Amino acid sequence: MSKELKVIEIPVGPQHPALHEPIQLKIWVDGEEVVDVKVVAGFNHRGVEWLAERKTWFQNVFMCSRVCGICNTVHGTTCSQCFEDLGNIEVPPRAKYLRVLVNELERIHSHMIILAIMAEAIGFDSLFMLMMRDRERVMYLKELVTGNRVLADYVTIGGVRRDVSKETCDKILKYIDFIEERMKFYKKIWGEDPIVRKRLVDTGRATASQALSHCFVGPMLRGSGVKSDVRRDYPYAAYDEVPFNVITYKEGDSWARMMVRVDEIFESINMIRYVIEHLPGGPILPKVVPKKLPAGEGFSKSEAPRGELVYHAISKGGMKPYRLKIRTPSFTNIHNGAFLIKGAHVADVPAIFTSFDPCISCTERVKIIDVKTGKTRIIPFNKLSKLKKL
Amino acid sequence: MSLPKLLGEVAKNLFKKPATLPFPKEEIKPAPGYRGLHRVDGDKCIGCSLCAIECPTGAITMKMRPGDKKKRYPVIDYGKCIFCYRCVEVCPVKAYIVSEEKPPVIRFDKKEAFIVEPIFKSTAEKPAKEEKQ
Amino acid sequence: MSEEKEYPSLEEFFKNIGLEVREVKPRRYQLFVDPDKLPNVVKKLVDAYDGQVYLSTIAAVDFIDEKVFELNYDMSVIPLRCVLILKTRVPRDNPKVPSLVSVLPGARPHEVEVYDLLGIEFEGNPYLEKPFLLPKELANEYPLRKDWKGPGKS
Repeated sequence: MSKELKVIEIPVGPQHPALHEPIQLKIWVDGEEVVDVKVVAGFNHRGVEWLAERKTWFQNVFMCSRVCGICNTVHGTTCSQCFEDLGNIEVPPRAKYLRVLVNELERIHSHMIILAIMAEAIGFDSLFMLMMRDRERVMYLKELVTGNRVLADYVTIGGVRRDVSKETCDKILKYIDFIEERMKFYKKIWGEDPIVRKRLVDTGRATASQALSHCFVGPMLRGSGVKSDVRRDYPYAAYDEVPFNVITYKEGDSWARMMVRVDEIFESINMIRYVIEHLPGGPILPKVVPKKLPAGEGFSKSEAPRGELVYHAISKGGMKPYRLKIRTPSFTNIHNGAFLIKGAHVADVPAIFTSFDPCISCTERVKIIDVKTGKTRIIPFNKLSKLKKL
Repeated sequence: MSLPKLLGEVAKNLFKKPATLPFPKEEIKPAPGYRGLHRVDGDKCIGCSLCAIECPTGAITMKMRPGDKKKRYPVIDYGKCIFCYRCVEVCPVKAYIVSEEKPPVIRFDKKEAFIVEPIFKSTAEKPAKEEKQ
Repeated sequence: MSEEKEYPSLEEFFKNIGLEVREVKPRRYQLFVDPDKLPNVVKKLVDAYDGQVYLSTIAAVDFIDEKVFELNYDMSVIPLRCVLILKTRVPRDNPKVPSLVSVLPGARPHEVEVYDLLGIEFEGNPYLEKPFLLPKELANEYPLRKDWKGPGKS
């Protein structure tokens, strides 16, 4: 086999309907080992923060939900909380519990889709198909509660827009039991299957101090042993009343990060059962929600499935914000986590990169450019993991 | 070991029908409460323009009524609508008729066919729908 | 990272270095810092809490009437379970702030984003580049400034 230096460039186009972040990775390779990596982003820059200064408060809640397709409920919740913090608007208790219900449904379906995509990235196609088939039950539950499978538009400033009936609650409990049975089966595969363990254990290892100084968030931080979760540390909605455990694994490799997500699905299932059993009565919206908010500053954090989501709004009084800053968790994780790819084999790049939960298209084409001789080869991203020798 | 169990599951699925729903050959019924196509009841509308002001995408424009009444009525552009139902929520007289009908597939070379007027007592218009994809 | 160790509260820590922090809302602290003292304060903060401090984001605002840029460093202190917002102001005609990448390497993408969208320079950050998120046509323009009128117009 030849010993040339090769550069892998992954050009990305947004072709996958379930994913939302087109991104370009440039990897410099010596033989089979990665030497340097650079992340090039910005292919899907829509200017949301600029637009937010030109829309009213209620219109902003709808627009900010469309920043991300997979975790749109969490964006809507955090945006509403930021504006409620600015205007000192009280949220009724029943609305807080319903926000927890919808956010946890979102977490379950988001974790199931990244587990399925990781299964496909390491070549385990049947597990990918089975998990996506079972995820459809969760999407049906979302449609029952909010009115739409993906873009919920459920949370508004002051509360939620729809109530749940007794029949809906019974159906949620029935489907949740089915999901829990299936997840017990999947947990055995992810935890003990020798193929999965051989591909994922010991790849992309990050120690706790590295994870903290590089400002990782979410399951990436918890997979390295740091016990930090926004739902426990800075509670919002009804999370100070709903009991749950913070899941950590101390290994710090790709396997630990995926196992954190598997265990969090079980925690979400228990939280949904608690919420339905202890749902308080009362209204879902306050009597009056003002259209004009006073001058000041609003800040809100929440735990999206991928990590910590921050909204910071500055207002000078009136109908529109003066500045709205949105920090999504994938932005920090991808740009700061790229150093984990250094020192790994080329065939491990999809396994490491997908464990950040980046949501780029998994069927992308990879261009291998031979630096010394100038030859190029084009290989699909999911076939990259099957390369044994270059 | 988990490997034989997965094989058993795969063998079972060989004899079942596919899990993919064959849309559009078969109609799919969405869950109750689905946010579908909505129309305005022209007789209840009072012309306050709240729906046009609150719409996040600017899909609603107000037009003057012909005749002696100097009232306005809303015209919806389904090409821009995101079906968030904010107009349904803010209307003070509940003049919007909701349904669970699936929204039409928008053709950008025939944009004018998807700009729809309200339903008045005498006429009942429907937005133009394409039969095949 | 032991959980049993006693950490000083934020008021005590800042009193020891001569600054005063105030609690604006439950668990949310805020204070103003001079721009040249900023890396020093952050380094002492990171050392005092054994590295369990991370930077969430840098929210930069253009106050065109007062002719300043204001930078909000939103940080989170894990053992105290609270949020700390450090604010600095730089003049609008000479926006230069010392960089934090030597103290917290994870601050790098946030600083490059602020440089790309608003034009504030972070001295000591070798990774600043334009355009980072914006398309190539806006390589010399700063869209989030309040006097930006559109691509190619100002």
